[in-house]
Amino acid sequence: MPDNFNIFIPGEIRRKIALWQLSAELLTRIDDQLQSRLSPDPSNHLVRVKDIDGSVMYLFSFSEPEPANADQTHLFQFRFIYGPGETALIIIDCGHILVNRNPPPGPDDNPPEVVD
Amino acid sequence: MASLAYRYAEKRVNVVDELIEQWKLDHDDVQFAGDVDELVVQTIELRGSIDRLVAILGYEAHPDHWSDQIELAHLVGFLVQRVIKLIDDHQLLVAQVQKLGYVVSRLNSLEDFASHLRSIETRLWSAWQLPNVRTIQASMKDIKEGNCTLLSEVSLAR
Repeated sequence: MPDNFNIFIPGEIRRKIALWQLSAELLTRIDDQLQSRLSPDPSNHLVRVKDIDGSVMYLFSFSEPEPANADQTHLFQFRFIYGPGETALIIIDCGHILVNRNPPPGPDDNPPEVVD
Repeated sequence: MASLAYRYAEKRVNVVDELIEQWKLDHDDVQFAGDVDELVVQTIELRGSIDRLVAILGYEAHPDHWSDQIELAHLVGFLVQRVIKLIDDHQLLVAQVQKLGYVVSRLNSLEDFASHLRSIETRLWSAWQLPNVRTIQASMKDIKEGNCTLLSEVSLAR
């Protein structure tokens, strides 16, 4: 069984994630997702997309029911490059999209809130 | 359905790309303004394929198949950027031919198409959180300067 990959996070990415203003619980779940799911077996989770920089992506989602909206889902994408020796992954970009499974009816049909 | 639409659009873009590349090499041999007009028409006609592709993808994530949508969004986003670049090249070449005295009749349509694509690009990047060049450059700078932490040694919640 190969060792887990080390995941490195640049200061820029920590700042970007902080701007998402997620709950501590959700941030802990992201931590866990990256370290307990991705790190032991990256090849099974990473997606290579046609891209300018040849990076790979990890996609995952969580539902975080809130009193006001029981069907709120957080979608995450983390973009990585391989580090030296290909036993490390370095995050170079990430994205968060909030989507409602059953949005209340309205004239705008509630487009998803996008957080950059 | 979506992947077929993508492959169809990509093939059409490839054809126009190849024609323009060939024209870059051989444009001294362009004998008639009609040749130039035809190339403009072929480029503008990519609009239908791109628009269909974007309509299939949409700008809203569906909770049940969002990961497929994001993968497609990357493909579509980069295809749109490729066509924008292709139009830029095209316009430069058209300008060269115009200097030789040829009249190109549908240049405004080409510019309209480029503007349409830029608008799609903006919406795609925002809706699907496609790669943010500024973030990637800043991350690369952090990596180069050693401003990078092992995730197991920090907590995102802190």
